[in-house]
Amino acid sequence: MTKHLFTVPSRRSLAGAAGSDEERRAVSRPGWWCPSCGMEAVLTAVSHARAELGVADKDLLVVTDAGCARAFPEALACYGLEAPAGMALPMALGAKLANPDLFVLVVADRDDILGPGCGALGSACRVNADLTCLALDRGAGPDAAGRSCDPAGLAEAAGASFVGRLDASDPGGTGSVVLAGLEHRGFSFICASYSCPAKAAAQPPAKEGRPASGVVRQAADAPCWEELDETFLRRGPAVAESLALGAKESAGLEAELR
Amino acid sequence: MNLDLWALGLGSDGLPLMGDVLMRVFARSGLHARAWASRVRVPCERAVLRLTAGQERRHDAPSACGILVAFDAQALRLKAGEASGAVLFDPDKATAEPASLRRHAAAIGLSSFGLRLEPARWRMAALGGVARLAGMDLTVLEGALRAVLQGEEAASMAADLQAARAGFDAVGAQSPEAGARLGRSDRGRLVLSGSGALGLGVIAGGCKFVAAGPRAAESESFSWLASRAGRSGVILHRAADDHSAVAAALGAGLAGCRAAALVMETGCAERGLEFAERAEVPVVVASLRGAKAPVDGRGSCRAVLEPTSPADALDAALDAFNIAERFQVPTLLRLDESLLWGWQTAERVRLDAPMDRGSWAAPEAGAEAFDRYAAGEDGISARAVPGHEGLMFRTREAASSAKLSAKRESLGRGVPIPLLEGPSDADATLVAAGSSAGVMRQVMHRLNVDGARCVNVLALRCLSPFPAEAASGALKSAKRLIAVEAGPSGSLCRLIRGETGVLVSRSCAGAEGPPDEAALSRAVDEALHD
Repeated sequence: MTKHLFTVPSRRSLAGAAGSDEERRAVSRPGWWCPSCGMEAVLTAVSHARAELGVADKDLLVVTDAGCARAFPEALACYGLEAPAGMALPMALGAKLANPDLFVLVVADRDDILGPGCGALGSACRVNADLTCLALDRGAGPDAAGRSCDPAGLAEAAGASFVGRLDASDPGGTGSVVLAGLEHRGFSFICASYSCPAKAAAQPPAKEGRPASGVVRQAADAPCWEELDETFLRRGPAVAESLALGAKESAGLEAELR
Repeated sequence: MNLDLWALGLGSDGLPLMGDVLMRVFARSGLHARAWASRVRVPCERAVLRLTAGQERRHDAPSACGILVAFDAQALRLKAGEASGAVLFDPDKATAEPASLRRHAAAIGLSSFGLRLEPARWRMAALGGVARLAGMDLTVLEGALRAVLQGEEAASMAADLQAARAGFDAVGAQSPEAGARLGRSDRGRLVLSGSGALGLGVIAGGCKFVAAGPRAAESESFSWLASRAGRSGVILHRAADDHSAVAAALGAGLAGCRAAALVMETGCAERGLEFAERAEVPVVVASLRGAKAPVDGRGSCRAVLEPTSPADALDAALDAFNIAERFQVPTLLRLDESLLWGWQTAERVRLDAPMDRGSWAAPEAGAEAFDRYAAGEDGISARAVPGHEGLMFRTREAASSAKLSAKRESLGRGVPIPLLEGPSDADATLVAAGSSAGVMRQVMHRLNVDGARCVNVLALRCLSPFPAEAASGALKSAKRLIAVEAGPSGSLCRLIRGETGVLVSRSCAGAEGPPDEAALSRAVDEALHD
């Protein structure tokens, strides 16, 4: 199965596929997840949204942290990347900029996104590439130092063109927010609150209620990276570029050295 | 005959531009030249440009001062007494006391007021004066100036050219006999700067995605790339920090691009490099101030390259991308300021290097599910990228220790090996890594004159996997072994001891970088007379 040449991947057309694939909506809960894990609703919502939009499995890349979310790619039968702490969002951004034909979805714990990878959230908002980030919030409340941060508020302040909140215990709202986020052209940030049985056993859920599902902000007319980057607009996906320099380009570069 | 030039001034005096123009003048005149300018962060910081040119190949910027260009009174006070040939200064700013100069040194005043120059254009007059002292053609200087200043407003360029002509004529009138006569040849050469060579290597190496941390994004290398990225189809990404820059490059590497990250130190890249090793994601990380960190290649599965000169930075970048993709490993390019802020003339550059993209998987009818991390005997898996049907996989830190061990062996056979330069039976062997090799080669050429067989040198370019087998022979057969360290840490001696078992008893290091030529020559003399 080796010794093949590199072939450029290309996206399957969405036209005609949207909403047609009922079988792909069904997704089974990973066996090693806790029986009443709230993340299952998020997984189902992603699966439905993918089928609704007609995204081919081969065109979907799910970047996760090393927590329970790492089961997403297998459950969705798509490409996956299990990133080290704080690297999920910047890795996803790099993959998207290299091959904008991919649908890139980040599913990671909010602490992974707001902790060591916090700077990347600002970058993703600024670049506004067409990717979706699901920050999983299991209701942990303030950290050991007493700090508490609202991920959706932070993303909104950083200028994300789409910010949403969802409560996994509300399947209808969850599905509509995830679908809206995936459909949005630009960076979508969704804070997904869910109940984690393991966490609940160790620490009771926070007293204040979860925010209701809904879209907090959507700047539909904000131009995304794919509409702004001159290199991409002129030459297409970087992954499809020929690596070797042309004779004219080589000569031009050499002339600059004289 | 050589011209050894020092220019001293402030950051705002534009010494790098002066170095760039002079290097092009000498290259267009068929001479060998080498230069180095200090990196300045703020305009009021002291700055220095050292440049040497001549008919013979030069390996390092000069430590001796033949011609001094003093931009202010402090520069005159500091260095005028060391200049052996001529001192160029602005008499409107300072006075060169004859008593402070060496016996045959000529004091040449280029008055801004007298030449009717704006103060900011004095450097152009000084450029013209240096060209005149070196015996260069005015037309060559004008051509080089036009090449460097292209894009500037026509009026500004005309004023700069006028100032250069005025300086050229003024020096000719004041001291027609002063300075060096370097000669000329019709064989034009190319000029490579360290920062430009890295950028050129990135483009010629087929890299299509570059992410840089905030400080690296302010570097000359990134600026060089930014001005050419659109034409070459390179996507540039300014990341929030070095950690994110490496992660973004890893993401692009996973997606199938040749990708690189520019960072300052290697520490922030370490977690990303570890992930790339175990997840088998090809990526190149260029650390712009990474050459001082110690290397411990044992146990890791990555290539660490440290280029020895600006021209080598281009070749090392080309090699780095091929190694990364062929072996699916991260490759670390360690650079330092003495390389990035240096220039070198070269005969030609290699822009058409073959691309080795390694082994790729392809879906086959009836085949079992794709196993991304199934490896052959060489420890290298068939690679796939997202977007292909039938090859779905999850990238994770899955490579086992046994697999990494097999791959490390394969990698050891695929990296460049060092060659002993100079007479094989020399009395002393100098060994250095990275940019310290320049001063080492310079000393070898100075000492091995008239057929003398004093010194040979071993320039290490690949520090991990360490080419122990290739280096051991040269190191063990050395009559006297001297390590040329890039600082006082002694990390090279420890690396050689750890990898080959050879104890390097003598070493020579500068305070914050490689030693200068005089210090290394003294160390060699002492060793030879022991």
